[in-house]
Amino acid sequence: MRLQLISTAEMKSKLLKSNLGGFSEDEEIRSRRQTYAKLNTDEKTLLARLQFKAGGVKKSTLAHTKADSEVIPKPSRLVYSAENKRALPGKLVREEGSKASGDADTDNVYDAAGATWDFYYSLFGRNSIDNAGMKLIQTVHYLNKYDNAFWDGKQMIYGDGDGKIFASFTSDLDITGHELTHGVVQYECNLEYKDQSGALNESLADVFGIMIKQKALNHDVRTSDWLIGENTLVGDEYAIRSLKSPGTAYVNHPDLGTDPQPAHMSGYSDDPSDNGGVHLNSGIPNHAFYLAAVETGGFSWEKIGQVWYRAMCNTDLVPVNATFSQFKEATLAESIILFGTGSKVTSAIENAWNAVGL
Amino acid sequence: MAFKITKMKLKLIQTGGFAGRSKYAEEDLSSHPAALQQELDQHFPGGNVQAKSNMTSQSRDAFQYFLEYKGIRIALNEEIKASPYIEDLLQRLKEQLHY
Repeated sequence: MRLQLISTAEMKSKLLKSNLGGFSEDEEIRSRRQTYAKLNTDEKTLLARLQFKAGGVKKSTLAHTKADSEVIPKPSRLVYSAENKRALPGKLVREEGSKASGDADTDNVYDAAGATWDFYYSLFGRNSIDNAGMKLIQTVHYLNKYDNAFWDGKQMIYGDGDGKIFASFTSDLDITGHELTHGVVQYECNLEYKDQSGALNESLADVFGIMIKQKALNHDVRTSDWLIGENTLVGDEYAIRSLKSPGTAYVNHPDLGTDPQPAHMSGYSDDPSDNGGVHLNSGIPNHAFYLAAVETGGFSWEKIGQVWYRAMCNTDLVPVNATFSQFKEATLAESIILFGTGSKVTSAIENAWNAVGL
Repeated sequence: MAFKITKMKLKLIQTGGFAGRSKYAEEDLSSHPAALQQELDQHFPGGNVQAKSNMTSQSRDAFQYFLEYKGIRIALNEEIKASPYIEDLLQRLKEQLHY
């Protein structure tokens, strides 16, 4: 009888999941809200339990589920313009639910933050950067011809680019996904931004950035280009980084030269001017993720992405100063929990880390 | 007897950022008052100095800035920025880097 009850609950959870997934970005969020509104109290309670289990809602929310029917979270996006000055956050130009502003940079980051929020919520039950509904604050048009995008610990900041080497840093969904993931890392394993832990921090931002792009485009591991920032670095043949082939994102670029990222530990190098090479050595764990995803097949976020997310959130196995080896062990441990010791996924992950020299 | 004249330069180096790219702007100090170099000498200790990041604790992908003088590289810090002799010069270098 008990088995039957559990089975029924599982069936119901699958049904709810199928009702609440399968769309994209804003449309998906709207549709899920509409579906949610049609659920009865017991179904809402069951959903809240599932969300809690997945880390999507707090315990306090769970306790008040029956009293509060607004369990399903939604993103809260605020986009500001610095109007090419330094002051942050700047002038509010678009907020959650408002119409497109007509400014491409504003609308790009609004949509990209929506896709990022939805990625984390629909796949991992995560409600925003801090998993507690944190506002997604973004500022565009920062300074003049500013060649960068960054996370300052509280918000995202994007430059317009110089127009010759770099286009606007709002041009790629994976860059927004990357920067917002720095926020997620901050609230999870909070990896120190130096040496191997810093390179892991950069790698996690790239790995989730590419998965966010792949999901939005419905690309599987074979159809994805595995490139980060291909619209931001000017020139059809260039991108900023490649997870498939680190070191080849740009070759003989007239201003930047050739992509210096290593794909293997034999190429690991310390660069004191970049916190021990955080943007260089991230190529190694990036490539491990790529290899594991390709060997597993399908959509990267379905299996390998689940493992990487759980590892990122496992502060017992991934301390703030984690090494690549510690992260490898964390991914193997999580894969064994999810898929089993001798599974294809666990084997693919082990092979991937071995292939990059770890 | 020939003397090799080496121009004394101050270099502002920008590193990191999303693309992990390094670039710099520099200024020849020969036309500046001697007091500027004396001031710089105080900020740049001799010996092998390890340049450390000046990035705030939770900033990610933000640019980092270093100054290089007489072959010594140090992180740009508030003390140097506040120096009256160096302030204007730094401002010009920053503008070249869109800082």
